[in-house]
Amino acid sequence: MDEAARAAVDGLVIRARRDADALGELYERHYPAVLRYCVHRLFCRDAAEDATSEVFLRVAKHIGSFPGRTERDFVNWLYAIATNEANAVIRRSKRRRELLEAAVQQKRIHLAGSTPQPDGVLDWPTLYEVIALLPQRDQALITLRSFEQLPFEQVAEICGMKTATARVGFTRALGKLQKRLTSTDGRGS
Amino acid sequence: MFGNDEQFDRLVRELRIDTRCDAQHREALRQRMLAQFHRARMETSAGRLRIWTAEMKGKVMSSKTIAAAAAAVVVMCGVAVALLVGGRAQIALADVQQKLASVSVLGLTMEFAGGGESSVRGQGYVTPDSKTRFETDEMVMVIHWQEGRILILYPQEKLAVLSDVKNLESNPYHEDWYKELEDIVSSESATRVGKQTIAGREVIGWRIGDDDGWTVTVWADAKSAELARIEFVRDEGRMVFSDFRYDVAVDPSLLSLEAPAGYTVQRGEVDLAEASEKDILCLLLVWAKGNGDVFPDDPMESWKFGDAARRVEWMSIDWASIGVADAPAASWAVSRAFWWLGAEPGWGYGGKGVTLGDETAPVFWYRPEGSKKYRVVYGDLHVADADAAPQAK
Repeated sequence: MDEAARAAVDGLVIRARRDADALGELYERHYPAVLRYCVHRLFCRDAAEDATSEVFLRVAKHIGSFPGRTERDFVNWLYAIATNEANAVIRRSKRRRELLEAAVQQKRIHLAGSTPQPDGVLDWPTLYEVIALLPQRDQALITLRSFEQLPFEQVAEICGMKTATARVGFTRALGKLQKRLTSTDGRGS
Repeated sequence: MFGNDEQFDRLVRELRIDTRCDAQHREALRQRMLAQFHRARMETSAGRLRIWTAEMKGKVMSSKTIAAAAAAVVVMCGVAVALLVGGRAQIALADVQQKLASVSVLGLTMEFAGGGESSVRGQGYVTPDSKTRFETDEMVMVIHWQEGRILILYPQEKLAVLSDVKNLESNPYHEDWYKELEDIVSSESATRVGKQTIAGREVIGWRIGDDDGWTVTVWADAKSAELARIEFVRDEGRMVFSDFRYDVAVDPSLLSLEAPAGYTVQRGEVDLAEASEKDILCLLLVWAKGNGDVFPDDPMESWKFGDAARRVEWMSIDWASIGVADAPAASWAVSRAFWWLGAEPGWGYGGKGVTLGDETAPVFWYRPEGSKKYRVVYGDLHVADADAAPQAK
């Protein structure tokens, strides 16, 4: 994106405080990313759409007082809200496993990643199940970094930590994930 | 399986997770979001009006000392009324919008009347280059919105207070009055309400938004498209902008930030964006004091806050006990606190029904950026660190 285009998009963020059209444009630009992040965090499609709804309704309620001035600020805010919302959904589900099992029972899981995999190759449901056993902060770090492909600097901004902390936290989270995946039942200790 | 982050990233890319958007959900959510946006703007506007009227009529004007700074907050909050529903206007209202856009100086009269209390009436001028002058019998205020500078004059005392306000535009509780008027006549929810005669002129009316109990009616000259009257009504509250005069020849000195000769000038600085913990304490204290020494059900209800603020004896409060310099500073702090509460999603509130002075009851908590611990405000307004957020009752 060239400088003029970036300035135009940044202008949208400022206008969106009081201009519904600008907010609508930001919505169109970022709905797919928020939904994608929620799918990655929650697996269950319905839960992800509900969480996405909560994110944008919250944005609509508070955009008037949003202090950010750039699209980057806005994106970080979106991810921060989405992270909180995903965490809340998980907390409400008491345990991640219960959420998954309920989703399976209700046949609501979208197993787009369920294409038969060769032996030894991880599939999405299995990986998700193991990620879900990690602390929420680790889940957020792994999802933001590896699924959403955000730079560590931005991950840190979203999670409210220093870049170095995000980097170290991600590496440790990945180590925990590896350990759990290589344990007998795939869930580790 | 994977040995490092690059291998893990590759593994993730190969998962082929279905994250496609459902067009129906996307469109439905867009509509819900925009509806929520309009509701939120209405509530903010109502809150601004209420805060202004409460403080303007009450404690602020009862003391010239506090009024010097507090009124600046208050009056700015005030006429920022509007139903800030931006967007495309209807064709006829667009004529009003166009007329407003071409004005050089707009004169107007503002009057507020609330539930059985004395009214406030003042004359004002607004300009497209973000200057405002507003005067009542007791004070004159000049605001240069873009520069963030406010001059308040108290003619009887020959006192002038000049404040530099940082981040004025970033605080939604303060808006350029001219821009507020622009927003009103840009409403996309306006509906025609017929014609009538005002001051001998035939005028056409539009009603804008009935959400949140507020009704705003705009009346404009049927021929010239000049604004004639704007009425804001909710329950017992009624505010009217009238006597609009386009392209008024105003002496530039009236819109100047220079104090007239013979005035004692006080200077001050305020930052409206950098909220701090003591701002929250200040808001909670005013809330509780004005609510019978009990914390409110919801600290964000700025509409109700206006009523509470009016009942508070601002000058008799020991502001120093919560780290606030004085009553004028407290008035600014309240504005910042509302701004902070609206912008920050990560706070919690459990003050409903808690008595002011209860040192055991957590009322408000938040986690400072980068901190692992929570800061918890208790009913006696002492603050302590905690490893976890309290559970709201």
